[in-house]
Amino acid sequence: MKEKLTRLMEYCKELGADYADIRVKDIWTQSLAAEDGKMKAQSSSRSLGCGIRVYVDGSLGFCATSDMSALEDAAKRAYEIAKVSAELQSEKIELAEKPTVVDSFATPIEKDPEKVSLGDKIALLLSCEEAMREVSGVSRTVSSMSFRKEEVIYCDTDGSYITQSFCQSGGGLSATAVDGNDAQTRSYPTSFGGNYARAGYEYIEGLELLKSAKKCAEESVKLLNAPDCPSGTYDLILDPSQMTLQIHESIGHPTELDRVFGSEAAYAGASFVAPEDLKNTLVYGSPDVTVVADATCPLGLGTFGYDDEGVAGQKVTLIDKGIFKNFTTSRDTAAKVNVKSGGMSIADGWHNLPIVRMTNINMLPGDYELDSLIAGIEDGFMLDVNKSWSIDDKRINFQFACEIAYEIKKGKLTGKVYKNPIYSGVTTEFWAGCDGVAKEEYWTLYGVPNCGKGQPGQVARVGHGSAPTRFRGVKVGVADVK
Amino acid sequence: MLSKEKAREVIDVFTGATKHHTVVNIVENGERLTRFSNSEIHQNVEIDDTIVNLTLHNGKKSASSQGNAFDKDSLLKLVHDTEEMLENSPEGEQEFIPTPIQKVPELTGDSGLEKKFDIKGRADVLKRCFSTLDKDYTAAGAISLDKKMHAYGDCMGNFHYMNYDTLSFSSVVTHKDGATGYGAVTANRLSACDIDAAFKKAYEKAKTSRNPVFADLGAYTVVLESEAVANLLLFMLFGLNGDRYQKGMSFASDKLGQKLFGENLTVRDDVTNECTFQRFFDSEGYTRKPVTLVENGVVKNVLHCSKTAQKAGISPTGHSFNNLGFMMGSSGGYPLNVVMQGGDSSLDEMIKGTKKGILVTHFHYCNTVNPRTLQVTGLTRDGTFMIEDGKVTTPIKNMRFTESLLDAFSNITALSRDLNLVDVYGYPSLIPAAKIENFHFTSGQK
Repeated sequence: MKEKLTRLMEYCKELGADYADIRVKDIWTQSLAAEDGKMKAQSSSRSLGCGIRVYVDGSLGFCATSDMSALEDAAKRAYEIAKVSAELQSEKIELAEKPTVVDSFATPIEKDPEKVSLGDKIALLLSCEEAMREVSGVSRTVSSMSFRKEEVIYCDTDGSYITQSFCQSGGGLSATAVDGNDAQTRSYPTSFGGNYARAGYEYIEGLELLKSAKKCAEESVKLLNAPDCPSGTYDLILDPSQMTLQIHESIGHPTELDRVFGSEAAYAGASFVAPEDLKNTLVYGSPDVTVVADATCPLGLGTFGYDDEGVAGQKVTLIDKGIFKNFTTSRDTAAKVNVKSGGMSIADGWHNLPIVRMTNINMLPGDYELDSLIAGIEDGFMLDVNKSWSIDDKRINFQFACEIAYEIKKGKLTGKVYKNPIYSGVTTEFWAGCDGVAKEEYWTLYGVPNCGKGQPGQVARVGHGSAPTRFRGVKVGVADVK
Repeated sequence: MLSKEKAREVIDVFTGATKHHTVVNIVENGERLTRFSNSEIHQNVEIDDTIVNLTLHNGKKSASSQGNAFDKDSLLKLVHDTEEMLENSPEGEQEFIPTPIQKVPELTGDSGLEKKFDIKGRADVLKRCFSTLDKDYTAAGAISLDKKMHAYGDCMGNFHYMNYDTLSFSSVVTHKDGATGYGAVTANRLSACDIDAAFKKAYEKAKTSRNPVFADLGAYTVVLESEAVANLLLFMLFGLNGDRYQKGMSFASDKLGQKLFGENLTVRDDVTNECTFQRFFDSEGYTRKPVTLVENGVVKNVLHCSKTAQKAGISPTGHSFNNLGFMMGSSGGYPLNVVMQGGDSSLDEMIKGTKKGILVTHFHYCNTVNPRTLQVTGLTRDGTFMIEDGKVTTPIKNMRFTESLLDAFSNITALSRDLNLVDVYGYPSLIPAAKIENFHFTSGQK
């Protein structure tokens, strides 16, 4: 394969390309779901193909094909596309320099999920179903797990040749209690399919799904009979599962530099952050807020050796003690602000163009015990597990709904729970209201396997680590208006 | 593009290689997409992938595999892998009922879209659009020609094949001070692809959106352009999925046949309407039939796959997305040919008849807050204006709504006569403009 791809890169230069690269990806997935006590679905997939980028005189063309016997045709097509693109391009694309690399990387795993028997996986799911369904009042239960393995080969006209193997495992549970008017769901370890990591099957075992199944179901029934969360201005503690979405939507996306330059303007939106903010002028949050983009984080869903442009995975500080410091970048966006690429250019599959994506966007832990965070709240809530999310096209106004709110009064959890908590805010005001972050022992890493961006649409697998975090004066509910 | 003959050959390999009930879907996705920002092409891609989905059934057991290699060895390996999954799986909830032989109209042929919107054609239309912009305005967006093929076959002898093209265009025009305007078009025929008109609309909206002001939060009369109506309608449609309905997760659960919306709301899924995306068979091989979803405010039907139809005691109507891998585990059905009935008004008439309100071009990042109450949230975007004494006056900064669509769609006071072709999750649908009273904006950007 190396010889074939190296020869292809020479062909691209013969065509007249200034630069070209290719990603060959062989992807295996497996998904299993049990519902209401029975197996609902089991499926697997395999997909092999390649995507070729060709740059000609500052213009880009991309062609993807699953026909591995017709690579030169695909390269030629990419070249032709680049030539046409040049007709409507006034600013040439420049790529930030990178070293030539010959290397390999593999996700460290203990148990290959492809080799774990289907019977064992199904037995675990059905055990979880049984445990949840023992709880009276539960209507619907779902237990699922999924796996993804990628073999990736990267090659470019600079002489880089990189092979990588990635392994992703994830799973989760949900229980829903239903009555005539309402349906309430509790999920473990988090919603929308559970938690994910770049790891082997040992990660599923570590989730201890069966141990949490009964509690998950009991809380769904408890929520059905709980009152609606009141509206007002409150102090909140966000659990790491909800911090995942808060960080993702209000820090991860607005700091993507391609978005800042308008690449997503007609689709996912732009950003309130501007290139001038690299001058340490943007106060993003309080001094308690330090956030990094870390592609080296163990188990992170956004962890790799090299991105899809052959740039090494690295750790970049996005916000340092509340001050905005850096964007997430690719080679072309980094060139526009005269920095090196942050190694965050990823393509979903072989058939998509690499674009700027989050890696693991992690908020660093603080110094508080959780009890101390709670003790500092006179009247508020602790919110857990996201249910719904929405943010505007500049990433300013957001609104989230969570599965459950635990009441805090006079510095203590009262034991009372509320359903349907919603909170909203304006990004920099919200982060400025952060005044306490729990310490490292409470820090948890979550994986988001379905971040959407780009046209054609792409899915990225990204990580977010955080500890329980306290925010002051947050708008909860909408009863002031409706 | 995989020919009809080749698709049949592939299906025959599968049906001849296993004793289990065999269902095959072959889906080909060809995307030719030119993306632009700052009035330049910045991404230009051509993607082709053909995926074969094999589902095997044996009584109450089923298993699926997907692949994109079409040599015989790879196809037989797919059979082997799927059989292994099937044989090692316990029974599911329901016995599989094979699809009886269906008579399905064929849909093939050349729409003319590819010839007009090839790589050069896409660049030419963009060049023409950009040339109309004053120097302080830039455009971002994408123009995409999607070439698709779908073949279905099973061991009962059903074989269906279709190929089709769709052209979609969307653009946001931005003034240097941040004002934006949006225009879009989606169509499966040349006569409906007026990209210049869509771009002009985006430009006009941007020009009139400069210097927006903050508006008070609260309840408003809103006049929604067709795109905005479609943005909301999508969530009602999700709730009319048969699986969600049966599991108590829908606003319509236990309420079929009840009047939940205003008299003037009628929505159908009508595959016979040529302007919509006519796919005459689903991924379980059933013939797609027109279904009335809501009629005069009464929820008449939800959409099913074969399993939920079986539970409901009715025949499948061809709305399943099962056996396609990407919606693994999803059940129930989804609409593809949405036609919302119009009224006797027009956008201009609705504006003229509004004393105080807000004109919305489209919404952004809408999401369900509570599926049982159909409470949805989202934000305005790319052209939002005050209406005062029957006239569009000041542009306003984007605001967030949080509203139950059970209320919103019961408070429709006018619908346009004309229906516009707009995108409802990727498929051309026919939607009117609408005027809605008492629509709540709950937060803004300050």
